[in-house]
Amino acid sequence: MNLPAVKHLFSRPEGRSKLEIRLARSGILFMTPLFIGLILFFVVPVAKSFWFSLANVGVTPDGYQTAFQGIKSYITALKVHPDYLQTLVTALINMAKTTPFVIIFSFFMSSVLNQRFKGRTAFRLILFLPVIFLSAAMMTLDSADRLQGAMDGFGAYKDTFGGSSVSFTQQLSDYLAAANISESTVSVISGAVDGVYRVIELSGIQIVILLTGLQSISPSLYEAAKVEGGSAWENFWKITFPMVSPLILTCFVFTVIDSFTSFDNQVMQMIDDTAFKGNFDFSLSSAMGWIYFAVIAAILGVCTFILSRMVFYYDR
Amino acid sequence: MIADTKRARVSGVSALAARAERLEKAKKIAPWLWSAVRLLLLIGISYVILYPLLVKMSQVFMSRADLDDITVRWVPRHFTLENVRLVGALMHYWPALLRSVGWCGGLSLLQLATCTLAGCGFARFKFRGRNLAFVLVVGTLVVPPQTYSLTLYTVFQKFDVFGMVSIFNNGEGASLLQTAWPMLLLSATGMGIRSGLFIYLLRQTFRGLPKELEEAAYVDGAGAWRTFFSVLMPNALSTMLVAFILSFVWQWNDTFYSNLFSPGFTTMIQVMRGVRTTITQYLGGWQTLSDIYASSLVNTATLLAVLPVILLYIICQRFFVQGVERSGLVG
Repeated sequence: MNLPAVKHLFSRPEGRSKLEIRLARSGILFMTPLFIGLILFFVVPVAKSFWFSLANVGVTPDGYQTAFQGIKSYITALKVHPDYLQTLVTALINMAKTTPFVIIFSFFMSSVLNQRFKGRTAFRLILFLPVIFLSAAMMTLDSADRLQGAMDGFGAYKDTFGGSSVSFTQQLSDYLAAANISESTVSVISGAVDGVYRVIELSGIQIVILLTGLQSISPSLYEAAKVEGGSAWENFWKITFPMVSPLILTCFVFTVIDSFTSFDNQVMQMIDDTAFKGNFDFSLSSAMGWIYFAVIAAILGVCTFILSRMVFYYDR
Repeated sequence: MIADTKRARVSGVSALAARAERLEKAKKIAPWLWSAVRLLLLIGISYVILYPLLVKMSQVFMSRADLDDITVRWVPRHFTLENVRLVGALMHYWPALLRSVGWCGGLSLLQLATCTLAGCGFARFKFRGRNLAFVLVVGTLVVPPQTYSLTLYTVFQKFDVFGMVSIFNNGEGASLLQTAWPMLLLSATGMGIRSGLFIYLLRQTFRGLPKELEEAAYVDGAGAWRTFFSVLMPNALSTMLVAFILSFVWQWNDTFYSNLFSPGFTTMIQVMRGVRTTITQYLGGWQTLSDIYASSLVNTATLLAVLPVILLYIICQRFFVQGVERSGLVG
């Protein structure tokens, strides 16, 4: 019998002191609440939801019954349901349209806010505001107003003629239409104006993240570049950009996740409505959720893979 | 001949000098120009962000006569607090405010405690399964809650941990719906609103602290908890504050979880959802809905509902910006 090997099984692993083992134990203690939560309120419900999507879920007086039925619900969602595919594609296109702008805008704004000038604090305060109340409280109301056609994107204000409130974009397109500009041009312009608002609204946290990145770049890098005679342009492309590129990736992931988990997302609404309104089709609802998740995960995976090749890591 | 070349050289020199001078001038003007453009840009963007707020704010203090008067646009002519008083009464503002502050504050504190401990655990302790646990934490961020909201609902409908509850409850799990328990449990176990993000933030912060700090504490014989409370946590306070503010705000604005588990709770956001109906009923029917007076009352209600959050932000903004800078999100 190979005694040292057996002994090794019971002795502590090499390179770990008694202290480290004790610390590892308290580390686990630190995380006990999280572990409980992860298992009870994440792993179990997610697994159950996956099972639901593959089963026929019937509601009974004292709960529900499930019977395995394969991928029927997935087929229903993709082939039979009248709107699902359409809504899914629209949501993806919207996301593809806004994400690059959000990234570029937040990168630009964080560079601007990183410079030294008077009133910087005030502007930072204002630009972080959307993080604070990108809010249901404002949003539920604004969308309700949208229904009555009184408020839109820029909020309402008193119209000089009617005494009723008209949206900024609406007014703008009215002016443009009055100036004999073709309808398609008007719609492009007002679309862009609405887009600007949306991009600004969505960029709050991204600006915060990139700003932290910019401030953590060591000044010595710029000093070295100065000695070597680097221009501002070169500094930007050879120091600033590579150094924050990991954070641009983070921002990208965050923007995508934010846009597809946000509560005004059409697909999310549909998933919710399928489960809780109408005929309580839990299986279909779960299947829709999983298809959506799979699509997003695939997009995130591919984009992250491509982007991570371009990202520069300082201490790799 | 010689004079010619000399003249040519002189004129060349003067041209060079003129160019240099122009460059010098451009160098002097360029920063000014950039500052001006930057200022314009920032003012424009700030305007876009503040616009909805300003509009709502201007209407709050307008009397009914001002609202109907087309010449009054931004500044009220007859300053009045009547709207605020009326809407406050309709919303039952103070009780709702107290309830919401207590509810959101409590949940945020619970969430913060768990997330801080977990963040520290991820950053500072090595144990088996750490990476798997972190992947799961990121997973909570990536998997939309709507996907498993239904099954989470069923978890609380018959809440039972390893058959422990059913022993006392005639073999059945207890229903925790319509109580405060689901949100309390979720927050306390790090599964509340966007807990994953806070765990990530705090992990980054704890990772950024120098190892020497705690090593010194361990050498002096302090245990893990003592070290955490007296050495690590004080250095992470600013990030914790950021996490607390964000958590509070998201809790304040949350309709998803509260509709799922406890739609009966009259927190501020739930009051807000019904406020349009309340106001139109008070004014006498839905036909008043498009009335500018009704709309200004709704705007007043919105402002009153977000006011506490904005105040919190303004009070904490200094620490907020600092904390965000210190969290060193790199990597």
